[in-house]
Amino acid sequence: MRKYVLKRIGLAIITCFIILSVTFLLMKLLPFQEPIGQAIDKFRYYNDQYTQGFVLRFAEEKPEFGDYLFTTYGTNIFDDGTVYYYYLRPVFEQYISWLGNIFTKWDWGVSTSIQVNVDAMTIIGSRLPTTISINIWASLISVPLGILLGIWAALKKNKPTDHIISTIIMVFISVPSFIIISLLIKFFAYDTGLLPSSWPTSGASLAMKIEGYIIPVMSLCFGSICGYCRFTRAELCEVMSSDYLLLARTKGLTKTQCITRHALRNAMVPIVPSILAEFISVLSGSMILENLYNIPGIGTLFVNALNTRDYSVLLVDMAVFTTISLLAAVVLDISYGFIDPRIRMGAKNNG
Amino acid sequence: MDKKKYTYFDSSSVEHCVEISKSDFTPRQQDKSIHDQKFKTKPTTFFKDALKRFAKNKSSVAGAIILGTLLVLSVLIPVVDFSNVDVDHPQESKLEPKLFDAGTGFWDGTRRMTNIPCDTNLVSVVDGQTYYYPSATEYPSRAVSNLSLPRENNEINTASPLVTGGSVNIICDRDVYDNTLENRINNKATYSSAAFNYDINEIYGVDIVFNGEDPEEYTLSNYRIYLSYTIAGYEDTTFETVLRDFAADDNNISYDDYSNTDLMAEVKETLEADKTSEEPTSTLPSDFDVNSAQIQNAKLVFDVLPIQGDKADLLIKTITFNTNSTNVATLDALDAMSIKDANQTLLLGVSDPGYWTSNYATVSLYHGTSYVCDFTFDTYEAAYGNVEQIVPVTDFNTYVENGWISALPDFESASNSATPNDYFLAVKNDQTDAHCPVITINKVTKSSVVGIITYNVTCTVSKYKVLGYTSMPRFLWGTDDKGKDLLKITFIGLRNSLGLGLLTFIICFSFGLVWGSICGYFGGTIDLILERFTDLLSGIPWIVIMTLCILNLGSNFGTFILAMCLTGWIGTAAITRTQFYRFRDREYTLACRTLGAGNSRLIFRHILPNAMGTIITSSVLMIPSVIFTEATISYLGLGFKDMQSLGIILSDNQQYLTTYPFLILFPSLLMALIMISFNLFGNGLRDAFNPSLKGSD
Repeated sequence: MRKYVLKRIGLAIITCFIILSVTFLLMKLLPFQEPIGQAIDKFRYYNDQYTQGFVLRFAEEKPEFGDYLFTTYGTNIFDDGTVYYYYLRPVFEQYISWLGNIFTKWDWGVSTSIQVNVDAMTIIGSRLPTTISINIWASLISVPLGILLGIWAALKKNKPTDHIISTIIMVFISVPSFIIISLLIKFFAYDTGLLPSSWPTSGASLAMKIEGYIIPVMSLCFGSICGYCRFTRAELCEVMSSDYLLLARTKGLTKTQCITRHALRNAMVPIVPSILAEFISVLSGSMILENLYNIPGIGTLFVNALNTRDYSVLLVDMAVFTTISLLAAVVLDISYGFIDPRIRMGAKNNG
Repeated sequence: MDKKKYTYFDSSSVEHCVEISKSDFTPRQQDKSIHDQKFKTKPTTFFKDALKRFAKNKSSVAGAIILGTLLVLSVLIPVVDFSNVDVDHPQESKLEPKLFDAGTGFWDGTRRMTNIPCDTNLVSVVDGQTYYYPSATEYPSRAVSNLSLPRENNEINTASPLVTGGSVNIICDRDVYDNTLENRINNKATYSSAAFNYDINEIYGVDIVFNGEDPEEYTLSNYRIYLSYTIAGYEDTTFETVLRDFAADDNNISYDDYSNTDLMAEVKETLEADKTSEEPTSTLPSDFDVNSAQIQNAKLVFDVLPIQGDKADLLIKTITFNTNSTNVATLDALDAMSIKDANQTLLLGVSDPGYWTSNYATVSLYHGTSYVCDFTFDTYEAAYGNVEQIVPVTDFNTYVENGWISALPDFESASNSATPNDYFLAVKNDQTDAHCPVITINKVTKSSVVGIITYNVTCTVSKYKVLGYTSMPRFLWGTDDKGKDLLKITFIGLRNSLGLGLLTFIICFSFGLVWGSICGYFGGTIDLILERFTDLLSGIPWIVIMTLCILNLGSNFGTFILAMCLTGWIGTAAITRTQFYRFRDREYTLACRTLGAGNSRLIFRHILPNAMGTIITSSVLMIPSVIFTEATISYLGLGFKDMQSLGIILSDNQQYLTTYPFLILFPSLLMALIMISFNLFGNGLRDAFNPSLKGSD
């Protein structure tokens, strides 16, 4: 078992490494992005790039390296009048520097436009808590509700209750989330005025902040409740039609005993890992929701970074998304092993 | 014939005896070949069987029918609907959906307007009650009905000529990431007065009245007031004389009124300080005569600092400049710069002398006062109704050329006649009513400039005929902000989205099928290597692939297909692989192999036909998911630029969610409908091909 876990984690790390390397190289092949701001900001940026090993610096112009990116000529930044010219390094040299910075200093580069000259990791770090807190609340509500609805639908299989639940779920799964979110905002915020129409500001009162959570959590819940419910219903239906449940009934167990002791337990084997995986993957947040509701999370950050071509922030954001999705896959695989006794015992017997 | 005698015992042990001869037996069948007989029932194939099962599932059939209808419509409507969506029609923008005649109250092209400022000059008295009409340019009275009584409203936040008073609201909605002072100052928004050249030896004063209310959506912010100017001869440096500074202090910000009676004294202080300061910060030489400084481009500037996660603002009621100078030009300029009525100042154009400019700030009116009313607004009447206007004589020439009137009306006689329309009636023919924009000629006046006689012809004109329609148009889904028929562009978008989905499906399906069958059929090392590659690829989140493609290749149709296909085939490949694994080791495959069948025969005659149903059904749901992904990406503002799609229409119209909800409603409904029917159809197909999975959706 331990060997299996280590193997899975190792593979995930290698995958993550390859994906991020390719992403970095592809982004470095794009035209170089100037930082915004005053000359002093630019100077700080290029100096930082120089110390990080992404650009070269010379005291005189070197036409053989092509056009220079930036020069301190005419800016009076140095009192002694030193003039520097900055040139871009080759992509692979930048790649090596990038790896070095990450592994030795955990330095992922600085932002060029979102927040000039601020560490990209810091920016992401300041945005993550909002995204995580919304998603945790959404999960806390949707997991029990979804599973209960699923159980209810499965127990009433092919009865009106089941049909109603299944239809509603089908509709909510089919309708794109941005339509649901738009309608929620329109109804609760604009038409009735019950809730704020965008994410409350940091200075808002506690009541306002709590109210601000309602629409985002609700819109995230719809989707995941439907997902959990559909999955639970399918699994439970399959278990309910199995032979061992019939045997349990013929042994004389009541229906309740049958369901709680045999059906539910067995149905939970695939459900629990998928909940864990889902729980992790929702951390990456709903980009659409964050943009529509102006939530300062990593989703809005991603879109902003993409629109302003802030590659460092974009890369760190992508790294977060990739890590989360790989982590979810690993947790899914491993938790199967822990939860399903057949796999657990099988692994033990084989050594 | 010999008989044989047989004895037997029955159940009660009594002995019986029977005699049987050979002739007792007759052959049932003789001299016929005993091959298989044809089935009495009709033979069925796997696919026919699946179809039968599918037909039994009513909801799936309904889904399939809706889907089919939408497919046909998406091809038909862009062809059949003749309204031109290639160019913008600014005059016809945002028409409400219209199916029934106006006045029906539902789907009739009217819109209920509330709290619209009304013009106290447009009075109408009905039953002793005085009604005010709204602004005639925006809401022509012919399109206004069900007008409510006017009421006073002092919470109007949109500047308009009909509003008075209020405050100037300087809003800084820039996003800052932390509340450090440096960060906030870097992201400040400014609002500055027109430039004025102060005379340093005159006396100038300024009175600023703040509105200390805290507006609901915003938070009153830190601010700074200063005079920014240059000195003649030292134009490279911008001097700042700070009048009030609440930028650094977070706690004790005061919104008390500010008054200064001698601005120039402060300016002199600044210049003196600069003069005496050390070399790097000093601009002026130490022997500079402050009293002879020529101040240029002096602007009164308000800095508003942003607040983390909040919209910051500052409310200014009035600003009054005063001086002891008697120079008329100076007095006029200062008067123009003063903000006496916030609404009036906000309405000034960029070229006005008193115009204030904003930098990174959104400036709007806060709580102006006006009379407001509610009414029903017929958008079609406003856009297409009859109006009275002057028609150039050259237009009449065009009408004659087009054959809409037989000849030019006799303007000379009409100008002298009390009933000028008689001369128009004289030249009317059959086509006039259908095409000619002019309905009646109301007045003709003659004027002569340097011997050239010109006629001013005032006519009642039908606007829809001017726009080239022969009857009042009726847009079933209304028109968007560019005046394009929403129905048509939505279905064009649907067609493109479906095309994208289908194309992606075909590419991914073909590639996935080949990849999966190689993995599944050959297995072993090949499978292992290819599987590792698939693992790696499937670990990349779709948003990352999408972003990289868009960044490197631009946002267009081809990029989207590429991005979708890069990982889209993995699902098909995985299901093909499992199916091949499943059928590869079956007995019938083994039997075939022993009979000498080669790989290609096994694959194409025995495995693939069996696996095909499952593979297709599980892959077909890729189409809605591609449409979904495309819509999501477009919604984030990264959609393709070169053509229309459902997601692009939705994201373009998102801003009108509250004001013109139909622009979102109809495309959303269509999107929801296509998604639901696709899912119903797909689930039905899967159940039909794979009955054992039934119910597990």
